[in-house]
Amino acid sequence: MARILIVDDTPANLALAGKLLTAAGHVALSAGTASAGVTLAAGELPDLVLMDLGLPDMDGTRALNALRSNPRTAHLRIVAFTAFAMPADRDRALAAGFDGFLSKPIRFATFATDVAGLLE
Amino acid sequence: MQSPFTCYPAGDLARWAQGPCGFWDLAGVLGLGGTTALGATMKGSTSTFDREAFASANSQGDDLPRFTGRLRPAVEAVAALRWPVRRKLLAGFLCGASLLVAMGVLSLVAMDQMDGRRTEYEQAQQKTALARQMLYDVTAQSHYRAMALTLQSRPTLQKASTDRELTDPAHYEDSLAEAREDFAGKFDALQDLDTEDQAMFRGLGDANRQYRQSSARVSQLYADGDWHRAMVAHIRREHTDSHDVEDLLGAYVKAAVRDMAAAGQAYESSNQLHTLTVLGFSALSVLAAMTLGFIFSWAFILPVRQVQGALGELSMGRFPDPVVVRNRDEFGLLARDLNTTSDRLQALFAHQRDLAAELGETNASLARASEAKSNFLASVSHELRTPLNAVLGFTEALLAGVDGPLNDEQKTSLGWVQRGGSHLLSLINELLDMARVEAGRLTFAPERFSPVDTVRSVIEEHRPLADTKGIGLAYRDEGAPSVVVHDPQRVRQILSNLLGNAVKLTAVGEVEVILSQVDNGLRVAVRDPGPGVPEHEREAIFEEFHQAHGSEHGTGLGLSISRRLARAMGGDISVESEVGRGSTFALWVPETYTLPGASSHDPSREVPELQ
Repeated sequence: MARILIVDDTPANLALAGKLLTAAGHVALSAGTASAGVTLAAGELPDLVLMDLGLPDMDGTRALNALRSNPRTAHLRIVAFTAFAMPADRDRALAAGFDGFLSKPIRFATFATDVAGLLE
Repeated sequence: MQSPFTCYPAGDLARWAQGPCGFWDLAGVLGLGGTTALGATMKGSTSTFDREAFASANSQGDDLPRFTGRLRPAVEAVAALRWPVRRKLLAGFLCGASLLVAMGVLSLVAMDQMDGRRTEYEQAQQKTALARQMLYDVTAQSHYRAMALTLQSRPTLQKASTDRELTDPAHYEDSLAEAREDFAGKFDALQDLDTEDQAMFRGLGDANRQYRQSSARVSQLYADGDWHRAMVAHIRREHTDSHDVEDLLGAYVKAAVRDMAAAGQAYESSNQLHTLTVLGFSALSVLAAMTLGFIFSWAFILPVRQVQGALGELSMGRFPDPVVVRNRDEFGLLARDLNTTSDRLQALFAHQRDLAAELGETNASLARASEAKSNFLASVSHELRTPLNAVLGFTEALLAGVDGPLNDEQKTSLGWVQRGGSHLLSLINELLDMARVEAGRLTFAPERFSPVDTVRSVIEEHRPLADTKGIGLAYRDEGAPSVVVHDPQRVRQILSNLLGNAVKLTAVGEVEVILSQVDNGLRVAVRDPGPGVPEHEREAIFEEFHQAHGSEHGTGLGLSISRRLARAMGGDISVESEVGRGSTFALWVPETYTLPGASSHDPSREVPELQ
């Protein structure tokens, strides 16, 4: 049982991820924009943040930097959540300071176990 | 642009050029120095001919050889003559021949003149000889007379010799008469020979007649036995008369000898003069013939050199300036045709360059259009996938009972939604792959992996469908490399496509996957007992949007993408098939992926060991 924040501009993704996480027994928080996500993270201090990289108002990496530069949120576990699934994209995300990488699309069979792995 | 010399109606020249060419052979006779260079050129063309060496050894273009510049007007005049070459050569030959004829005539005239001189000299010799013999005849007559009279007056002397002839006075009388007749004969001969000195001959004739008369009288007295009076008559008349004849003849001989010497000298000097004249004329003729040969040869060599120079430029891919020659003959035509050819080539070349530029622009705009299309396709595919993934995700969640239990009817319906969505997703993925392939944006993440494991995994993926259809899926390893370095996802994608097609097209029987090592690479053959591919379709099935067997599933992109992927990895996909008995699609890739353009020892390409 963990509190997980999903930042994604696609409502369907937010809804599906929220449904699957809830079904797995977690508490799902969602934000449709990067700035809303940063604000929510600072208020709620979730156990895990799934951050989409292609957000319209702010690049996912900049949102990450914003969270890291705030002492309250600097320690949060933040994971890149993206459809760019090439190994190079994964490396780039890790190099940018993300704690992990979760690829889209969301597959029912693997999503819950992948998230569980990221929480450990 | 063209020389006025090269512009004239082609009809005349064409007619000239077609005439019988019997005098071409004479070119060699007249060629002299000029044709030796030409001969060298022609000989050279039959063997390997070093153009540069030849060109540097021979002055080129419009230059005459050194020291012959003064002949240029003549050379140009011959060139500008509006005659065909054979007529010019004939004219040159006739000029040379007329020089020879003139030389022959001069020699004949000289020989004739020398013959005249020689005859004069010989006549003078003959006159001298005759006059001397006549002088001897007169002296002999006096001698015989004296002997006859002496023997008569001294009878005892008649016993001085036993030889009757020497002691018989009558014998001397006979000899005297004989000598007299000899003299007369020679005198006639001399008069025939010398028709000029009539006065002298008259004097000599008178003196001789006088002498004959006095001699006849002495002979008469002697015959009468009155030898004493005969002696007196001899002393008084005959003797002095004979001296008169002798004196006249002596003077004549003296003059004749003088004439003879003069004639000899004249012959000598005329001989020298004529020898000099003939020699001089011969030398002049040779010089004139050489000059003629030079002029005629160079009237043809100059245009040939210019044309050759221009052709040389052309052969090296440069367009020469128009060749301007003065020749109004076949060489003029040659230059004109060369200029026309060069102009046309140049125009063609320019046209082709323009076309190439246009083609380049077209290609560039086509490439831009193609890139725009690929970009559009890529972004559309991406945009399509996002909502589709949501559809599939929620469907899976519903099927899994996340929102509560479903009845069988609902599960069946959602199953159709899921299969349709999955199919749609695979189509979109293929389109996206194709767009990436076309845009050249394929990326590979090579790593070490076991091809056997990959093949097994792909087979297991397809086993459910094979089981459903009731067909077998077999696997055989004939010595595949244990490890290859490639992007495993791409290899998997290709094998999945090949195996998927095989399972899809096979109704009964067994699909077999065979791994082996071929040509230092990995070969994976997928053999199916399906309908097979007719020969005319074996290449077409690799084309985009081509669907074999009117397949109702798929985009028709699978094989095309697979082959492009295989080729991008340095390998290929081949097909062997027999209609009605099945097909074998084989993937071959080298053991190690090589980045396009990268050297095989590039350390940045090194791949970490598979864990």
